[in-house]
Order: sequence, then C-alpha cells, then structure tokens
Amino acid sequence: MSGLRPQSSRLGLLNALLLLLLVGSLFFCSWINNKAMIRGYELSRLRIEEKNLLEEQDKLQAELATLLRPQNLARLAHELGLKEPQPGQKVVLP
Amino acid sequence: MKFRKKRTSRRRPPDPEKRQRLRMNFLAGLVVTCLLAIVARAYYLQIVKHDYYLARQQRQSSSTLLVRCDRGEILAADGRGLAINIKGRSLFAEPRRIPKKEARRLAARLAPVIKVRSRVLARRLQSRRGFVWLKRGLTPGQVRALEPLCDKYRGLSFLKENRRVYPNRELAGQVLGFVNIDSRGQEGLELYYNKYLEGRQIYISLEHDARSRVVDASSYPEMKHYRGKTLYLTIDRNLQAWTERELEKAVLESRGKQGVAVIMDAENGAILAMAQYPRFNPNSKHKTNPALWRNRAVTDLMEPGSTFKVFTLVAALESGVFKISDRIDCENGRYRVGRRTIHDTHGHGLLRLDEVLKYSSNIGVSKVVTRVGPERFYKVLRAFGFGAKSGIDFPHEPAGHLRLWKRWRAIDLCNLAFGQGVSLTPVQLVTAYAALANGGYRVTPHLVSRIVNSDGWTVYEYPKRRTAPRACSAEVAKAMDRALGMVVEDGGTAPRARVAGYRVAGKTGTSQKFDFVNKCYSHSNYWASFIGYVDPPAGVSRKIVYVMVDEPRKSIYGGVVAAPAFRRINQRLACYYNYPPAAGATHLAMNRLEEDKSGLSGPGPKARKEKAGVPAEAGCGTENPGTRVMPDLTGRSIREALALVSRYRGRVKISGQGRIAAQRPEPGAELKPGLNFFFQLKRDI
Repeated sequence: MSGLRPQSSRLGLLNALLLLLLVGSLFFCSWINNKAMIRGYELSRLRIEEKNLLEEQDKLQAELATLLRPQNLARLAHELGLKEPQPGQKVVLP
Repeated sequence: MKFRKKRTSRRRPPDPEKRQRLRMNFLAGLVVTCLLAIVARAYYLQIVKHDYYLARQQRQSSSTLLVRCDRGEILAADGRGLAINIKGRSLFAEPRRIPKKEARRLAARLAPVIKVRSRVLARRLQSRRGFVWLKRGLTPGQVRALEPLCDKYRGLSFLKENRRVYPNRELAGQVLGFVNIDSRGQEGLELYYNKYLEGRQIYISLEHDARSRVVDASSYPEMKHYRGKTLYLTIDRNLQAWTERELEKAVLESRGKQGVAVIMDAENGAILAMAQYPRFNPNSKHKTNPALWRNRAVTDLMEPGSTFKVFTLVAALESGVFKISDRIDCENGRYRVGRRTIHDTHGHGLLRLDEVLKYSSNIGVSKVVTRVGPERFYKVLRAFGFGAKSGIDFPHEPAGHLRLWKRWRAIDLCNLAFGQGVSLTPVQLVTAYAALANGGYRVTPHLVSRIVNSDGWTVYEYPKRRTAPRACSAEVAKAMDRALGMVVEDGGTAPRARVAGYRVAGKTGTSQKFDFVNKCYSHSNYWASFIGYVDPPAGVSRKIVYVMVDEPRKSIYGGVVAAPAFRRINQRLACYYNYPPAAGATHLAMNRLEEDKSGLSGPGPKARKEKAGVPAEAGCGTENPGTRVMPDLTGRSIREALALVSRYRGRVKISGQGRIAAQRPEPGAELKPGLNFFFQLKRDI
C-alpha cells in the first residue's frame, strides 16, 4: 500500500501540471494576442502619422515649386534690382 | 462457545488511499473528458465549420478597400515638377445620420462656404442614400471653415483625395493639360500619356476591431510600387518662361489676338518650349474659357504664308531645274496668271534665287514653281511631311491639308508656292524647318524624353540617334541655309530678327486668313510669323524658333511683329546655352572692353583703329592671343577681367570680394594661352 502513494501523488502532480500548462497557455495566448493588438494599434497610428507627414511634405514641395517657378524668380530678381545678362556679359570660366 | 467475530470487526476500514485514487481517477477522467470535449468542439469549429466561421469573422472584423494609387508626376527637363500630387479634402455626408429637420439648416450654412446652391445641398442631405458628395476638391480655407460643422454633425465628414497641382501655374499650361476630379487625363500630355501616368487600382484588406479601429496595418502594401510612371519632358522651364514672356510682349505690342511660339532642337526634334498667349492656368481650369485649353501649336491649322517659300526653292534645287545663281524676272511687282494677278509688296526686276527669298517675292516663287511642275513640287512637300501628321506625342494633332497635285490649277500651284492653299500646324512647320537646319533629315517632334517607373527604372527613352529619312540633300539644305541668312540682312524682310554677334537665318511670314463668311481671303486679318535659328558653335544643334502673332493690328508684317520677339528669344537662348559670339561681332557688350578708352589690349594699330570708330575685323574668338600684354586691371570688376582672360583658357584664381586690388601676371606681361591668373579683390578700391 505504501508503494501506491508516490504513484498517486505523481499522477496528481502531473494533472496539476497539465492544468497549469493549459491555463498558462491560455494566459500566454491571450497575452500574446493582446500585445499583438496593441502593436497593431501602434502600427496603424504610425502608418497614419507617416501618411500625414508625407502629405505635409508633398504640400511643402508643391509650395516650394510654386515659389521657385521662373516667373516668380524673375519678378523677385527685378524687385531686387537685378538685370538680365546681355550676350557677352556671361563669361564661362575655362 | 464459539467465538464469533463481530461482523463489524471483519469489515476493513475504508482505504483512504484507494478512495483518493478513485477521486483522482474520476477527476482525471473528468478533465480528460472535458479536454476531449474541447478538442471535439475545436475540431468542429476549426475543421468542420472552418469556412463558415472564417467568412463570418472576415465580414465582422475585416474590410476591403479599393485604392487608386498616386498619379505619376510630370517633370521638366531639369527634373523640377510641372504636375505633381498633393492630398486634398472633399466633403461628403451620410444623409441617414443627419436629422431631416436639420438638413435644410445645415444646407443653408454650407452653401456660402462651398459655393453650391442651398437648394441643391438640401436635396442631397434629405436623400435616402448612405453617402453623398457635397463638394470635392476643397481649398484649405474651405476646410478650415467647415471643420466646426463637421465636429457638430455626425453625418458630415471629410475624405482625403489626390489632387493634381501645377506649381508653375500658367507655365506650359496648354502643353500639360489637366485631369478631372477622378485624376484622369482630360487634355494635353495628361490625356496623351494617361495610361502611363495613372496609378494602379489595388485592393487593401484591413483588420479592425469593434470600434472600427485598424488593428493590423502590417498588411498594407507599399503603395509607391503601384503609383503611375513619371514623365520627363523635353521642355526647359527657363526657356519656356522667357518664350512665354516674349510672346506676350509681342502680342500686346502688336495688339494681336493671340500668339504661338515654339522652340525645337533641330537634331532630334525635342520641343524645348511651346508657348501660347493668352495663357491658361490648369489649376483653375473651370475659371477660364475652354477655348484656351487647346494647344494651338499642335491642334490649329494655319496657312504658312511666305515661310513656305523656302520649300518652293528646295523643290527648284532638288529637281535640278534651277541653280541657286539662276535669275528670275520678278516683273516689277505685278504678274498675271490666268485671270488672277499676283502682287509683290515691292517691285523687283531680275533676282537670283536666294534673293527671291530675301525679298520674299511672290512672283519669283510663282515663276519658279511653274517651271518645276506640280508633281515634283508635291513630292518635295510630302518629303518634308506636309499634308500629314508630324507624329508629335500630343493628342488631337490634325494632318495638314495638302491637296493631291492632280487637282491643282495653275493659280493653285502659284498660291502654294508662297504658302496659300496649304494648311499646317505650327509644329509641322517647325519640323520641316528642322529638316533644313540639320542638313536634310526629317525629325519627329516630341515632348517626352523618357518615362520612369515607380521603382526608378527607365521604361521608355527617346532614342538619341535614329535613322531618319531624308527630306532633301545636304547641299540643298546648305544652300537654303545661306539664302535664309540673307533674309535678315539689310534690304531683306527681317533685319529686326538680327541678333547682335550671331549669324541668324530665318524667314518671315505674313499670311492672309481665310474669311469663311465672304469665302475669300481677308484683307484685315493676318498671321504674322517668323521662323529661323541662330548659328550655334560647332557640335551644338540648332534650335528652331518660331513666333506667330494672330491678327496683329499695329502692323501685319512678320518682319515687324514677330521678328523682334524672335530676336529677344534668341538673345536669351544664346546667353543660356553659352554660344560664343560669331566672328566679326563688334557691337557686343562683351567687346566693350576692347572699345574702352583705357585700352585693355596692348597698344597697336588694331586698337587705334577701334578707337577711331573702325569696326574690329574680328571678335575675341579670332584674335591671336599671343600678341597681347596683360593690362592693368586694378579697380575693375572681376567680370571685366574674366571676359578678358577667358580666351586664354588658363586657370583663374580669385580671392576676396569687391574690385581688383592686385593681379598676377603683372601689367605689361605677355599673355599666352594656358596662363594662370590670380586676382585679389577688395571692397574699398
């Protein structure tokens, strides 16, 4: 009879371990899932932020292009007292 | 007495271990049963009903969006954006979420901001549809004004959409064209290259939670791989801007109706500038007259007038009937062909063939073409591409109008000789002149030099060299080049087209417009034009410049109306491409150094002659630099000094700012090619 004791306790321990493993796995799965959700939200927020920044960049580039258009530069140069070079005034360095 | 054991005493006391084992076995069996049940259920859900639940889950938590990727950009030759994309906002409503009572009030508040009638808005807001557009392509100001309303009403919101922007505004507006609200090309290059520019439509699957927040954004594809291709144009922004400005000046000065100007590289047919006046801003296309959307340089037919005479002379030389030295009697300005009389502006007697072009004699070319004959003349004209499309990469190009030679009467043949009875577009005329300028080879005009895909790979490039058919022989082209050069000489029809310091060749055109009401040529409406080129240095291709003013009022002659604009454009062009002035140019600003009283050049008979007002025999390019000595440049600007030393092709080192304080070599030192120069500048000299 005394030989059964350790066997049954081992079985009980095994069952308890199995149960613990099951519960632990469940917790682990839900934790992983939760983390994935959080990272997903973060990723989508960053995506939106990236998109907004790219849009902002596009707008600034459009504004820059508008400011650098030849007509505008010619007008500003004229306002600053610059004159267009005559043929021969432009010298190309050797 | 028999001892009987008590029954109770025979019973063994219950074995606690056994009971415990039983309970454990029961518990284990229960757990196993439960696990089996779970596994069975999981099997049922995951395997048996897999498709059903997957579909149900996808319906609830994922959505598929159809996204049109960005349209490709259009860039100028220097890589600067001519047509780019930004994100704009559009206003939409979900009428089911807007109370009916509020719809009218909301419409009244929206109407003044988005400039849509209140009644129209109210009808849309009261509809039963789930989604209605209220205004697309809002301006930033409108967005700011509408934000409080969107916060207040749940059924009112913005949606981001791609918006095409033309940052250079009117610059090359008619060439670029425009797109519609859905980013589809409608006019110009936007229409012609729409299939390349248009971004691909792709489906994006998104996972979202119960609150419609996107959970998994990792499935987003890289949108840039699907965007449209980028076009690199041959158009040079600076040349385009100058050409537009000079054309505007020409049209306004001559009180003309409109004008067209084109610059083309004669070697490969690349269009460097294509200007039109009045201009058109594609950003605000709906505010302009639709007639202005058309690129007249490509789509409008006109009669070339005297600019066509050169092809009559080409036919004369190509056919071998005439030599350039042959003389034609120009009948002192009046010549009768059948019942019609042909006139010249000024009467002339005997003229050489090149002088016929110089004085633009209608009678001279009429007599020439009569001897050449219609069939040979027609063949030459066809060889130059008249009566057909030029093949330019632009929509709606008409084929020029040139009747078959068999249908020509004698007077028709004469009219054709001086550019009446034939119609072509400005681009077709420029293309024909390009063939004359490049030694007789036909070119195909084009606006796009290459197409690059979203990954940076070039998918199309206009071939730099291609075998082209000949329109005429090189000898004839050379003879015509010399004859065209005489047009701008004194006594020719266009001395105003001369560009100081450069050899110019070109031809004026003053053509009557056809009056479709009275069915005859108008005596009040003309096209005044000039086409030609400036001689570039060796190894550089010629640039054909064409300027045309429609219905000028101040003067009708191409030599008066269009030639000055041609000159101004070419002055800039020569400066822009660093053309060195031609030999014999004494009146350049550059040569002011030689004319300067202080005498930068060493003393000698040449300098004394120049001081006495005798033109120098040659410009800086032809003088022998070995005979020069270094002048004293103290106090002079570095520009003046550089103009002097540049011809010696030595190294130049400059230090400081301001005017020259010290120099090396010292004044009086002999100047030789390859010498090194040093200039020390100071502000307070």
